[in-house]
Amino acid sequence: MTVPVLAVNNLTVAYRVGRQMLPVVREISLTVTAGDVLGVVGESGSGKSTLGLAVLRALPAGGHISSGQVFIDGTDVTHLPTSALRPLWARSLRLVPQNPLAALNPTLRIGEQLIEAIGGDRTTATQQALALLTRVQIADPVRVMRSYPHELSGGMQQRVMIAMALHGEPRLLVLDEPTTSLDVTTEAAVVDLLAELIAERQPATLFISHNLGLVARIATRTAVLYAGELVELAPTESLFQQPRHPYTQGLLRSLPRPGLRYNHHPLQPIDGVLPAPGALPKGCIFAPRCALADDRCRNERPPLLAVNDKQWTRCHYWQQVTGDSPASSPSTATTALNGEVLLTTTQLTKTIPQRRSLTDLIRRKPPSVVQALTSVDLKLRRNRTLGIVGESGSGKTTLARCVIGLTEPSSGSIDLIDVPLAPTIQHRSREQLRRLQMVLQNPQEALNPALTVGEALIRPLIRLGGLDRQRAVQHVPELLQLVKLPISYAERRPAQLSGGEKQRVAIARALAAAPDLLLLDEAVSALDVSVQAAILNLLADVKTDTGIAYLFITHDLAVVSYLADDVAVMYRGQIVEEGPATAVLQPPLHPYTEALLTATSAHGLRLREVEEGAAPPQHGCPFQPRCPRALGDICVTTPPPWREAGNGHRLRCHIPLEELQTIQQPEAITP
Amino acid sequence: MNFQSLRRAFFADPATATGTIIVFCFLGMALFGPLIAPYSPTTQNADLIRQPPSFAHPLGTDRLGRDLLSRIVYGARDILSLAGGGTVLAVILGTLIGVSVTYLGGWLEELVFRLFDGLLALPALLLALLLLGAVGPSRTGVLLVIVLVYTPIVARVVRSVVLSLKPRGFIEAARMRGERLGYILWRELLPLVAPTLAVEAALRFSYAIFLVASLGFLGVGVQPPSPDWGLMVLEARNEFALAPWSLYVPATAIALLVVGINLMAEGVRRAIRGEMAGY
Repeated sequence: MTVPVLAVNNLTVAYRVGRQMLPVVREISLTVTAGDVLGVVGESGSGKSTLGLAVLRALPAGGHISSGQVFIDGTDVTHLPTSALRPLWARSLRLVPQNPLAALNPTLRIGEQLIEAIGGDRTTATQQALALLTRVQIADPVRVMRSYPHELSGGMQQRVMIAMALHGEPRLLVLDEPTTSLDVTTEAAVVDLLAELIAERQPATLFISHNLGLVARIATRTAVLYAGELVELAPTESLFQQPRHPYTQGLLRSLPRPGLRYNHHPLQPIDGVLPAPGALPKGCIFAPRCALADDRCRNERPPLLAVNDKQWTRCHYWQQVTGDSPASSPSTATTALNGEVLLTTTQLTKTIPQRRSLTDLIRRKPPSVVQALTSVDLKLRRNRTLGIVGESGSGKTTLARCVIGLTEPSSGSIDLIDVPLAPTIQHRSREQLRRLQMVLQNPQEALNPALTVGEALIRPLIRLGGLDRQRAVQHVPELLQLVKLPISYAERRPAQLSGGEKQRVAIARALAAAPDLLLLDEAVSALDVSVQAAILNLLADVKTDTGIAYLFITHDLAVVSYLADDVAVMYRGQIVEEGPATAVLQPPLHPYTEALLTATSAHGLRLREVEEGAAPPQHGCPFQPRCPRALGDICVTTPPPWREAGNGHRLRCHIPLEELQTIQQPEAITP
Repeated sequence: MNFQSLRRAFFADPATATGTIIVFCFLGMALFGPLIAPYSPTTQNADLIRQPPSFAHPLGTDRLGRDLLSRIVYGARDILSLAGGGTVLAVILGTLIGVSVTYLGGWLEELVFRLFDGLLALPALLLALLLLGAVGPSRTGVLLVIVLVYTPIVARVVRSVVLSLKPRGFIEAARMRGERLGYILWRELLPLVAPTLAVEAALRFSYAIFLVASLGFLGVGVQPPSPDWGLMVLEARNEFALAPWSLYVPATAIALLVVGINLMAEGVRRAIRGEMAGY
């Protein structure tokens, strides 16, 4: 048998916190051979990044391998001094980090950094650098070599990082959430590239990610980490089809995917929260959250048990863990198709003037503007969820901020039940404010750290609900129950809550005064899948109970197809396709929708990459520079017309509908 | 932050404890001056001029035979009340301006802070001399100078905190539910500015002590025969060869008080950083 490139034996890594050493990775053993891609999945706090850094011997200050060994090509590197590690790092150990911009030196040109990484003779190194950039599909390597990191788009930066990781003969490649900071369409292209390069160079690879779909696509085997322990290790296919640990099963059941809808086949989130590193349960660490747990689980820590010669699980009762069969509980609730129209935007436009340089000021050049929104028409009915999807920079957030009144639109109008809304919050009536509320993206900033949860929930009741303080206080337990938080949380301060709990409080606060319409701006994007599932179900329940409408903004199409009744797809401030969710997404017609939807699949439609900050085309279709299906001149010269596909479904494209329907790649749509 | 944690912060580490004790000693002097001081600070005695420290006069006497210990004790009143009062006023004014003007933003913010930048561009002492030259040396004048010099500094510090808080979600949430300006400023923003403000106030206080002493030394502050420390240094300067102690005593008092306040401020800073860790 060949020696594996990476062998980890009983590894425990601890961080120094104050005077204590808190173990964040405990007794993990695994091996990775050349050409093998081991996916490492887990939610935040599972220790997956720490594991990745530990095997590279690149732990940050305070981190320390307290027991166990790491072998690289059969050599024990656990206690090698830095001087001995350095040649190893230079030659064979590589890391692609999550945030490429933070990893690149902002003061050096890309070329310099690549040449330094490659080392040796400068002329040879330059040639190698150019070859590497060409290999990672960078169209103009000479120009990129001369660029500074900030001049490149996120996708390009990550390609440079990959190029840097691939020079020479990499033996072990650790990819730590390599695409998490990228848009789905860019992510798709970068993952394609990674898969190709791994197949070509055959390094042993650790692919660390919270994104199960991505791991399913690229990894040959997958390790599931929970609270620092390896709970399951299996060939990727077996893991997804027949998980043998309740946690893995819970993760899969929390994951929105085709076929699941909030009103039938709802998600099944995992109850409870991750244990704190200092306060682990005595028996099985997952027991407090596990439906199968009994006294044995609570007292006796299960060893890693072999299901077969390829699959291991840390569960006493793995035989009872069934495959993934989402419980079907068809809801009787039907969504009103023709409910009252709550919100209408008409020709909503927002332009943001750019700062002029002094010379432009003197020359009296008019300021250049960025079209954040171009003539957006929307209709949202009561008891419906309108999902707005698009990449970053597509104007989704600007749209929500204009509706709520935090940003003043340049032109166009917003009507709330046929009454025009003032452009800014200051000029709207209290009743209008009550009817429209919004949950913002970042749960960490949603709550004032100085105020208790109770105080945060009381304010909207007083301001918008018209209650006096005493009556408002009485309502707080009800609100906490609504978002499934313990009543005792009213006394807590935000610092004592997890991210998911903060977002629940933010949702409770927004719902406190019973709004008619709730705007959710990437409200679940920063959360782990199990928490995300719980919040999606919560939103669905509230909608069934109260008939509220949601404007749900996200980049995640799986979430939209799970929750939304209607979908609008935005590209560069314009709606390019809209209609009922089922019609828009199954199958997608507009090339942009198709690219977004098939980004997670290996054979999906890929967009052309354009330069960072490239100006949008002046005429014609705004999407045309990136469109892989562009017809030619007509797309460049003429703005595409709206094409009606029936049932309120329409899209903006020059390609005739019949043709769009036939050029679909059906196998790519359902991964 | 509650009282216990504050008390613990003040006495946990020896440096902070020393600073706190020094400051409290001077505070005690200021409050109970007449009980502590053995003589009147202004009574002259021609028989006892320039006496070195002795049992009768522990810190010696000056060129007019006044007891230096009594003068230091009474002088603590002036310096602490002027520096303290000035600091409190500057902190209040600076916070009011800093929080509200920064939150409102726009041209008003631009105007106010450019003006403050202008004030800050002038050295504090020069500004003080100009102002006191105009209104004449007096206690009120000194107080005004401290307020004028330190308000812009406090406002700037407050501004930096408010700027980082303004775009946060919870402020936007408050706007979305139509909170009044007052609520946003004083209930949402002020508690988050307060920790930074406490540190800044302590720091300003120690600088204010220096400023009051410097003005006394330049002769534009508190006027004779008041037992002002800075003034005492000025008067003793010419006598240095004859009675060096009369210079050392007030100079040491100033240094001791400033060092004490700084040690205490450092303790406050550390305690608050611990508290803020959760934010």
